[in-house]
Amino acid sequence: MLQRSPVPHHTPSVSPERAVEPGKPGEPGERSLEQLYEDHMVAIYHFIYARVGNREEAEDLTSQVFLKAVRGLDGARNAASMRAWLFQVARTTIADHWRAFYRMHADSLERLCEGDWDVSVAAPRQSPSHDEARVQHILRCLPARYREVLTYRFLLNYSLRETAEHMGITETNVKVLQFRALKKAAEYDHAM
Amino acid sequence: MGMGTPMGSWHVRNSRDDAQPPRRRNAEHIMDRDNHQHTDQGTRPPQEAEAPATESVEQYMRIHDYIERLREDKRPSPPGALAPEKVRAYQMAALLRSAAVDATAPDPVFVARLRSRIQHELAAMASTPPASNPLAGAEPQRPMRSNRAHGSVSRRALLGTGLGAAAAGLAAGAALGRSTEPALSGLQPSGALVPAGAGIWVAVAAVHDVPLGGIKHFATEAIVGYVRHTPSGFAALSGVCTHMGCLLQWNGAARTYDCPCHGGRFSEDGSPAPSSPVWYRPLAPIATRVQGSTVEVYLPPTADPSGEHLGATPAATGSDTGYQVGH
Repeated sequence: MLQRSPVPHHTPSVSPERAVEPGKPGEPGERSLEQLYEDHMVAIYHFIYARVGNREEAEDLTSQVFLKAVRGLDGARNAASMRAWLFQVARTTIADHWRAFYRMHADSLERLCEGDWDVSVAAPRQSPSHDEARVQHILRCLPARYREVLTYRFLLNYSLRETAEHMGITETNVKVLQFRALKKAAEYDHAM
Repeated sequence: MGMGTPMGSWHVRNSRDDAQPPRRRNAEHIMDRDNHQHTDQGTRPPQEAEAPATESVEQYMRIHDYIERLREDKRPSPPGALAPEKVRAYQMAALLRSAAVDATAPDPVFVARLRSRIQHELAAMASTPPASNPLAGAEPQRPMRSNRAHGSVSRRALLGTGLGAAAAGLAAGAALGRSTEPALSGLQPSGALVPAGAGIWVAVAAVHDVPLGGIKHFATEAIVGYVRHTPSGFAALSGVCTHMGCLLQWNGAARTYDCPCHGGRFSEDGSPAPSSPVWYRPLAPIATRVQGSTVEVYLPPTADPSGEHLGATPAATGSDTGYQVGH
């Protein structure tokens, strides 16, 4: 079943009193890529997931980001700039993905990304909770019926049938409603 | 805004997919029209309930298919060329999907697998000069530091961190081993070393026990943690301080997890709290899902006390991560 190597000896080769306390914000220090991975992998994954909406692509793109980082890391930045740099790699990776996925020209894609990108650059530490806040804000802004259909379909992950039953409409109506709700939500988000 | 669709009068004329041949023709020039400010906003009278001319059954179906793929957490097919605001609607679907109850932390198996790939890459790079840098130019590059020379990091550096704990010993024998070890030379990008499902899902709370905004402590034989009910769903965190592995206490007044040992504090979401005297690594997220009326967390294989096939790995990882590993 599992191809496992013999368990390696547990011999810490880095002394506990490493020169730099990892994770202290704003403090210059040497941070290996492994630390970068441990510190930011989840944030990068969430950042990407919120832009592709599925695990398969989120895993692919997260891998791409960190494998690019392996080649691009210079190992001499402070924690804050490393994080910002990593998110920059994530943004270009997502942009490339979107360009292919939506068959878009680079310039229209840039216009499309502007608002989102700026926020993330300004507050990279906040990106996962920023996306949560975005969702909450958008849902609050929407007319009740739109909010309802998006809540059922996305937050609660209801099927078309379940949503139709809860909302007392036909499945076809759900399809139309979800389309319009998404379009409206995107308008709000874009205007934000 | 949005008042163009009053609740009571909402209905669609396109009640059947084949009902609207003229609208299908409209779909052809939707792109052009949508590149300008599109027409159904503002100009539409408040009581207008028909499908606007910029919509078509194809569009309903395309975005519906996209949504269904996201609900399965699978890669969707590209919807084809779209006008920018249609693209935004798709991106909105992706954003909303990320707030779903079952879209939470990255799969620990994936986390471990990617970690081992990175180690592998670093080991490979350590033996070749960093001449071609694909990211050069993106930002000013500084000279390589000598600490890059030992590209493969020690196990302690990996395992002693928060995320290492989340994936505790998934693939501990292979994936967390030093990348210079022979076992990894055969690692493929798709990495079949750790079968999905090698770990187990364990129920830790009833859904109704954790109201929105609530936090509940849980302890299994292998791990302790907190399960939270956030606006975007349930999420679980390791209840072990990332500093020295002490068990954290939830402080309901300050809404922080406090460490009794050295005073470290973590915010509700596991990030280091602003009030923390020392800034430790964030708490490890634990993969969480809702099954029926229960919340389950994912226990990686080595956290399974009965996993004798894993040999000595639980002890090895446990000592580093601070997890209590049963025997």
